[in-house]
Amino acid sequence: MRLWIGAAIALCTLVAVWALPPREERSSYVRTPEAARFTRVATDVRRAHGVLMATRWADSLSELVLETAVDGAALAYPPSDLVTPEGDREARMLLTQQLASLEPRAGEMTVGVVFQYDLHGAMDDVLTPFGLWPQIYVGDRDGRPFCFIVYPERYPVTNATLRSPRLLDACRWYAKYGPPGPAIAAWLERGGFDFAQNEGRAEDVNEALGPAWRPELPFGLARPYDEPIPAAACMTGDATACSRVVTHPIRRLSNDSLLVAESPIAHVATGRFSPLGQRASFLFSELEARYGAEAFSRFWKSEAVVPDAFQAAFDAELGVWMRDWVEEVVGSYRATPAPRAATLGWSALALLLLSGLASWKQVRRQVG
Amino acid sequence: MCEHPRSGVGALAACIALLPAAASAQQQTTAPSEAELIERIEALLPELEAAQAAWDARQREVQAARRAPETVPLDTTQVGPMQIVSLPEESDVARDLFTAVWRERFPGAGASPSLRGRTFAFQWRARLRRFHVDPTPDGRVIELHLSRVWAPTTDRAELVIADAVAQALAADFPDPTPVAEWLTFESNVADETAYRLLAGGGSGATRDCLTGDTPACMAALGFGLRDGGERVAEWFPDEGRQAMVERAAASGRVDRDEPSYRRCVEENDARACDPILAELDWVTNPPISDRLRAHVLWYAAREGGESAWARAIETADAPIPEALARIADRPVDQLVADWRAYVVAARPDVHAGLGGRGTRVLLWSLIFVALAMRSTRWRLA
Repeated sequence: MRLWIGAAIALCTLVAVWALPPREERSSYVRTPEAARFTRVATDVRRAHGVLMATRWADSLSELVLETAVDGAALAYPPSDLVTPEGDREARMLLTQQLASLEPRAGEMTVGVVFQYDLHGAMDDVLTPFGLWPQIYVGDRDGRPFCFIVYPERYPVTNATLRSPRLLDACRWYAKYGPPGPAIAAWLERGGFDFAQNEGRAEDVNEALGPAWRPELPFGLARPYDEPIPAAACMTGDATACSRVVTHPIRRLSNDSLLVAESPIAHVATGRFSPLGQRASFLFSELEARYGAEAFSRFWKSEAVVPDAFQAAFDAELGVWMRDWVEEVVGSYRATPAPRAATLGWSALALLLLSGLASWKQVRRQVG
Repeated sequence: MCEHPRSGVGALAACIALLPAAASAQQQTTAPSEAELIERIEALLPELEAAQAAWDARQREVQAARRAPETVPLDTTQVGPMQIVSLPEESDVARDLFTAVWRERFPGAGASPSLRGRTFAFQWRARLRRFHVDPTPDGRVIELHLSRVWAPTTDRAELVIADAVAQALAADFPDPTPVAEWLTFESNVADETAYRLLAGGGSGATRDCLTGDTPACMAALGFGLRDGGERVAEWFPDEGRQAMVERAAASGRVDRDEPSYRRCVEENDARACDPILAELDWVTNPPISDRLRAHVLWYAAREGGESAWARAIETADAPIPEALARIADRPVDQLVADWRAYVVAARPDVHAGLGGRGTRVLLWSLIFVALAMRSTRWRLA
């Protein structure tokens, strides 16, 4: 045995002598203080520039939307040779149809869809903000409430661009129920918009993408995939965590959340990709379908904070309701260090087999 | 206030200029004004400039440190139009490897203008050494530092070199030539890998191709769909046909306002895609690995003989089937049939390594079990 240990040590020494010292190219992956400082300042510049552009867009585009709206809906885009009169007509008709299909409809609300060059309103030769994500702006101008979504475009818009199937996105909730209560509005802008993105039921995602995970995986291998900690805790059945998932939505892209916090942008629709994140984007649709428009309107217009508004509107405790819903559409898992019965059973079987093998070998051994 | 009959960008700019700062969205009540924001950005710019200068200086230092061992003597070897710079003790190996790659894979690529200006900095050793090669005024250096740990065999080293040469050659087809659009993967792949990709392609076209159906092979590579007729729907799934049409539309070869396109893509009716596909000479993303398209191009270049690449450059603007036929100097269906036979002949005689891996795991397990069951004085108890 000493020979084996000696051989192993000798081998490790040889590998170390060959591999050490580390080659210099590895150091290129280490971030230098200069690089870190440049990144920090560049991020500040990009964000300030983003806030400036958003301020300009909020100002001019809200005016544009309110001035050009027909029957409470506006469509605007930069001049483009690739948009034909028929394409323009069709896009406006699609928007009108989309609005007409909404029930109920808040008459005082103006909604809009704006396609805008992504560098419009930018300063020359200054770093621009990252991303080309659709941005939602909500507010009130001279007593006229509005919600519009801006699709930033790098290239000239075409007929096909204008036929974008999502068009109104989360603004449709404003079109239906009007401006929300102040606490709900603040919550929406803190990330609650994520629950407003999709129409339909969460089961539709299961059909399209398959189940969130396969609970039949052995040895407890099924785990919440890529979920934030409160979401994972919610899946274990913790109603407090479930309530927090709703009241404190977690935005994945920190740059965007800072830009949203500092600028007039109400929401940047970046998408969420974890199983619960995807399904939670159907939450408003789910609530409306389950409890009806009147109850949802009570929630939307409530002056109270989210948990109280939820309780009052749907007669259910937010955390408990969310826990049950998450279990239904995503699933649940056990968060405990205690091994599963199957794990214990397989382990016992393996131990028995190995013990049997060792005993058999021991019995056959001849001493001397 | 703001007049804009078509809501143009000019009108938007006018709006921005005209609107009073008091006009506000809800969140703007405490938000800084435009002037304050501009001031903030302008205050940050000198800091950004200083940070950029400091970072650039640091990078220059790092680059200088990397170039430091310039005293290392280097040899230069010429193979075809390629210049290879290597350590003196490896110049023979470099010449042999590059010559083998050149003769076996790219004999007709001597006319490549892209390759002529390139220099390959090459070494192939267990512990890599640091050396620097200055780029020539009209070209750039392709760094090929192969560790023998990762490329232990001559075949592997040749494959990596072929990969680099193929990528350099692909630069002869600048965007937006059809070849550049069709060749979404520029590197080379081993023949065995090409067989595996074809066999594992999963579409009806690749299955039929393996059995010797040349039109199916052509369809799998993205051309000849016109002759496929009804079979196109059997060869490719709905999503695959829609993706091919979408990609062709993205490069402007299909009108997105055509009713058939809208039915195919926007209304999700794959049957409407088939007449569009039948009208296209070629498409760029049939649902199989794009490495196979690269493989067939390099096969055509090799089969086309000494003037293959000169013809390739001449026909860079031609549709893919025509370009391939010209490169290989034979009809495209003949080329594809020959390519299929070549790939099938390269079928590896192993089974994806699964058996070997399992055997190794078993062997090591047995060794450890044997060691664990040995009687020894070093028992813990």
